[in-house]
Amino acid sequence: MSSTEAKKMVVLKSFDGVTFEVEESVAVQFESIRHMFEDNLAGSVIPLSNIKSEILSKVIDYCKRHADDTTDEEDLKAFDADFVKVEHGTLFDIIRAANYLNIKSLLDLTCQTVADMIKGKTPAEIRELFNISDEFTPEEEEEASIITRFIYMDRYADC
Amino acid sequence: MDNFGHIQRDVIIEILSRLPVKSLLRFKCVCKSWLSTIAGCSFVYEHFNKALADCKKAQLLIRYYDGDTQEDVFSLFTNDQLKAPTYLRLRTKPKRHFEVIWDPAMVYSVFMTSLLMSYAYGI
Repeated sequence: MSSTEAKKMVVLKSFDGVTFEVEESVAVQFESIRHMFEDNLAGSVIPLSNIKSEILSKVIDYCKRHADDTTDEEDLKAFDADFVKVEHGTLFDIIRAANYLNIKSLLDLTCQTVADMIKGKTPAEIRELFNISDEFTPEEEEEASIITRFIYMDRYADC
Repeated sequence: MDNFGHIQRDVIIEILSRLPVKSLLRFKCVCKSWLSTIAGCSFVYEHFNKALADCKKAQLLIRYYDGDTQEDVFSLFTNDQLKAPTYLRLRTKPKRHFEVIWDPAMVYSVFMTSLLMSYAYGI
C-alpha cells in the first residue's frame, strides 16, 4: 500500500461528542455506514449516536489492526484474545456497536467469547448475568419435560 | 452486580447460535423470550447450518403428527442423506407438534411449525 498518496479520511462522531478521524480503508469495515462515506460526502461527520467514545475507540483499534495486511496471523490472534479480556459491560457495548455497525468479524469474535463464557452455566446463572426476571410458565415446564423424554430416548438408543 | 444489562434480541440470537446444543437445551428454561428464540424456525435453520458447517455428522430428527393415521411420525435426516429420510412410526398421544434435532452427542427439541415441515419435505 502506498503511503505517499493522500489517504481518504472519514470522520466519526460518538454519542458523547468525540470525533475520530479514520482512514477510509479502516472504515470500510463498518458495513452499515459504508454507503455514507462512499457517497463521497467528503468532510462531513458521520454521527454514531448510540456508541460511546470509549467503545468507538476500541472498535476503531480493532478495525485498524484487522485492516493492516502487515500483521501476521499469530499476532492477530493474540490481539483478538487480548481484545476481549474486558469487563462484561464493555464486552456487550462492543457487541452492540459491532452489531450496529455490522462488523462481522468483530461480532463473531465477541459473540463467540460470550457463548464460550456462558455455555456451562445454569439457567439461574444466565438470568442473573443477563438481568432476566424469571417468567417461566407451567406450560413451558411441560415442554421441558417432553424434551427430557427425548433425551432419555437418545441415551437408550446409544445402549 | 456484574451483568450484561439489557441486550437486544438480535444480539441474543447471535450469541445463542454459537452455543452447543447441550447448552441450548438447558437455556430453553431461562425465560419465555429465550424459549421462543431457541424454538423459532429461523433460529433452528441458522443453528443447524452452523452445525453443518462445523460437523459432518450432524443429524436432524423431525417429529410431526400425521393426521391421516393419527400417529406421530419421526424422520431422521443426516446432512448427506437429506433426500432419503428414515421414517420411524410411534404410537403416542401427541400434544403438540415439535421437532427434535440431534447433534452427534446431544439432542434438543424445538417446536415445529408447518413451515419447517414443508421445507423438510419439499427437498
